[in-house]
Amino acid sequence: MTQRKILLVDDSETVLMMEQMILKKDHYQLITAKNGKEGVKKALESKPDLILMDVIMPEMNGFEAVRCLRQQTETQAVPIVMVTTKAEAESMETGYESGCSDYVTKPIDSTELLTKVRSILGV
Amino acid sequence: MKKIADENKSAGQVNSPDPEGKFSMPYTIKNVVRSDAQLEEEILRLRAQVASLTQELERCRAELTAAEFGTVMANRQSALDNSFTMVEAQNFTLMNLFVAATRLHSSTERSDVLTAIREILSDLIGSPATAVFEINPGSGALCLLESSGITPAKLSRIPLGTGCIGKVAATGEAYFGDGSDGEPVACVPLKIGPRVTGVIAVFRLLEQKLNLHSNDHELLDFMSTHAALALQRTSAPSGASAGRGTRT
Repeated sequence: MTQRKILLVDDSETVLMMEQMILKKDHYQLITAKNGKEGVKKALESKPDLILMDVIMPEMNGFEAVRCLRQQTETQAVPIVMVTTKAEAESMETGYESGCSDYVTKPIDSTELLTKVRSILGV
Repeated sequence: MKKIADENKSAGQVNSPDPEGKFSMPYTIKNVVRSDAQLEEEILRLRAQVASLTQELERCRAELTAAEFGTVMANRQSALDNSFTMVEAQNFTLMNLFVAATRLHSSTERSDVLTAIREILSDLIGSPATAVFEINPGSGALCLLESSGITPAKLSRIPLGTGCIGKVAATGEAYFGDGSDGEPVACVPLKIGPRVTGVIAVFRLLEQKLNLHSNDHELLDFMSTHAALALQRTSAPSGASAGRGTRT
């Protein structure tokens, strides 16, 4: 069985490290990016099976990055989960409009994240 | 009398326990005396019945055992589920501590340590409003090193023993509250051994987080020593203001 690839996009090293710790348990191949712009670049290069995207980031925010990815043929169908605070969740309509598939709230709960990722990837 | 009995015998009747004939059914030999063959047949029928009942008993015993086994297994499963949940919770706490330790101790610059503290408080604990203070030995007051989500001007200098934050710095005892009246939700001293070097304040939590959990308390307790050590390790010779930063 091929190893599933997940792209983690967040400007917080702490969040990236935490996400890696949680997802490592399921043996996914993990790629990281520190802002939306780098996230789009790495998504096009690596064609991940799933993207976890923070909302507030420098250079290019999460919504912009999702819109950009949805316009590309290679990434238009890749599931994208927004990682957000509740305040941002209120504007999740913007997120869904921009093309995200789902979202998880901060602080990240390991069980919630794993369950969502497994469900989206059909594991 | 013998004659009557003989007559009865000849008519197919025996001495009846009902000599006066109160019962309507006559006692005949056919009813009382059975042939060996009939008895054999009866024995076989009863044996078959015993066998069938024994089988039924075995089946019931097996069912009972299975039910008992099922109950035992269900209890065991429930205990395992509880243990699994506990282990998962401990695992999550350890993950938090590991990430916090790595972030704090892999930073070589004071500004990176302060960023790490802010990220730990905001991303692992879930607070959008935090502050880090350091005791300035010269002035005997707390100086604001880093803040996020608050107005820094109000807290730039706090005398020791004043207000919740000042009291934590003076006593070295952590404070936990409900965040009402502008008081912090948590105030933790930064300590190296018994010496208090500063304070970390958590002013409020994210909307979806109603209170601090046990793993947050563990993390704050851990931060009390490790953030203090990381700050001391990277302390700038020019003074506390070297790494100062604010995010609102």
